[in-house]
Amino acid sequence: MEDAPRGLRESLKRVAVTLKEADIPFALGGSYACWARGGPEPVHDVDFMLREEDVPRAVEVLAAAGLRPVDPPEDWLTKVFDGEVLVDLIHHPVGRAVTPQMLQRSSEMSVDSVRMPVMDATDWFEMTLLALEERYCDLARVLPMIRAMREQVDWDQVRRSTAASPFAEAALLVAERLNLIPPVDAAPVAARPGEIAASGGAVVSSGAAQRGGTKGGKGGGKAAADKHGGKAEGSNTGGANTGGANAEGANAEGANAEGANVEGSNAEGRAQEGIGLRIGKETGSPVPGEKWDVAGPSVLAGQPDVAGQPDVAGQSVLAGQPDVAGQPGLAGELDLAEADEYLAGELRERLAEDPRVAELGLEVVVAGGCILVEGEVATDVRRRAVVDVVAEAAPGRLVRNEVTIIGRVPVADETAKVETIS
Amino acid sequence: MMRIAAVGDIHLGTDSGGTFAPVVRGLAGRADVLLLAGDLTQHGLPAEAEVVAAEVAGAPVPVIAVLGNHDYHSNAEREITAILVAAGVTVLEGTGTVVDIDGARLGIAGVKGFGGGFAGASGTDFGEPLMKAFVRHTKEVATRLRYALAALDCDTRVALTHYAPIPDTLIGERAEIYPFLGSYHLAEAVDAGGAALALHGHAHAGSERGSTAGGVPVRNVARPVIGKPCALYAVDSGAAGERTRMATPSSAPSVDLAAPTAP
Ligand SMILES: [Fe+2]
Ligand SMILES: [Fe+2]
Repeated sequence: MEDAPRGLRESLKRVAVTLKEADIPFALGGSYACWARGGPEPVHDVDFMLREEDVPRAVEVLAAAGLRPVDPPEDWLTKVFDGEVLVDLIHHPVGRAVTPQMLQRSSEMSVDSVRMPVMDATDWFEMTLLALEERYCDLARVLPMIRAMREQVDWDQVRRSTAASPFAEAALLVAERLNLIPPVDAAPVAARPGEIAASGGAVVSSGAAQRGGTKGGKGGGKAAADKHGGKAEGSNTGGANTGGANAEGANAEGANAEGANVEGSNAEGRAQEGIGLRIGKETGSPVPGEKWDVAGPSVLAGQPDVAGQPDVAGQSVLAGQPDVAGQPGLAGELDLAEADEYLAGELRERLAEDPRVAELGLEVVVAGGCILVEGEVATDVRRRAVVDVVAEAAPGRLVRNEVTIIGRVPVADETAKVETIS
Repeated sequence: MMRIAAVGDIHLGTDSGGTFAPVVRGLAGRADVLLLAGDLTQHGLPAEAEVVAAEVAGAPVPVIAVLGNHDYHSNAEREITAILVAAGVTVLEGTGTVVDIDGARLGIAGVKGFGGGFAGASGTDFGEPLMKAFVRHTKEVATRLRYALAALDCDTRVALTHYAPIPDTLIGERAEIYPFLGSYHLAEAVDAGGAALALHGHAHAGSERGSTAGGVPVRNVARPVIGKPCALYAVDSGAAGERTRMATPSSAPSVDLAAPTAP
């Protein structure tokens, strides 16, 4: 067992070279593909991905090269033994056929100094996450792989194609909360400012309308689920943007069936809470009504009492309001005409430098005229100040404050865990 | 066994009174020493340091701290140090202290540290005066850490910094900002100084565990990283002695290093 990896690698290279010489298209898959892309080295398991029609010939050339084919009962792969080492030739991973396109997407990499096609990282995660199921959903195995390969992966694509799997969704949620992968792209929703403004008005108008907004939120949540294949983005303000967004969502992806599937359960349940928030961000936030805030007198005109309600006031952006100008730390407006990327960078610096927040670790995303702030701060006061600082620097922009407060856990529970350093 | 409680980046503000004191009190009987890995305050204000001082004043164990970049933000680091010292905290900056734990001597050497990056992707002492000053500052504090470790007369050495000595404990942070999060010169000092454990903070989105090239365990104890009020480590003084011998190829600092000047 000690030298298993060495034996595995020898077999891996033998099979790869044999297939290459026979001109059979293939890609290295399974945990060795992950290893080739920087992940942990597996101790059993060598997997190759082939088209089903190529499998008989692959078995033939491998047998000719001295490997021993076995015919397993499974209908999605076949196996060959190289001495003690078992090599899987997979043609239908997670029930999906290996396609020529998938093999074309793989990249030529040097694996233990033999060049061979290695499965594309995005395809690889789609399969790995779809393979998770009730009896096999150990995230402790998946997370190191995400850590190792995360920058090689199109995570939005993975989210879309795995949306039907609750286990995949859970894995992606954990990875996102650990900041291993980027959050769901908020841009598509943010790009519809007209709708957001309308719904924002509905939400802020009164306590009763908040309820109304909640109802509307169902639709918003659904729309987001369609668009993102079930990973409810929920940037909708719970307002009246159902129709357009729904249509757009339905057109956006070919994954309607999946989206619809999810919609019935998760997305709607979330939207019913009237949160309209991505679920991953809810837990740390003490204010349940976090939403896009619209800067502008029109929204707040009928709302003189907003400032008195801590929940709403902390969130609402009064960009350009005269009373804001008197606050400490005001460093003036930024040039809003400059590229989003620069604006995000400058806002990030503002948040670090402004004494009301002074947090260096906040992430700022500017897209489609909207500003999203994420990260952790120590107190609720600082969390609320995030909106003030951003609003002063970039008046008139939509601001979404997804900053959470660092959790406080009773000491007695946690200090029991002692790590022994030896 | 020596039981070390450690946390960094508590970032107390003037509105944070009462949040950390229960954590400190809860260490009675659970830890022998509390190490604070910098960023004790939010803006480096003396008023915030007073809050920190009040929170740790009744600590049931010795409290040893380094400052972080936040604690320098208002140019009041000396005043902050004085406030903490008055509350009984040992504040280290290029210095060390030894705590007697049932006859075993635990030595802690600390510096704030600085950025600069890690081997293969680091700033160099070249070019504009500002760039050179940046890198030289890192080298200087690393040298001070090395000397402070070497000067400890104890059974087990622990290095305490705010900035990270290795990139492993930064995983989770964006790679582009690693040079602002730490420097490999600190790891060199940890290895050369014969530390049994290195603790740091600063990288809020980093990872808890890693080790130096010399095999010294490194733990990122930034509050958001450990996900609990403080981390607890048990260090075996016997094993640490072996490590000390292993990790110290030359116990005397090499000749090309200038002796550190007083800060
Ligand atoms: Fe910090
Ligand atoms: Fe820091």
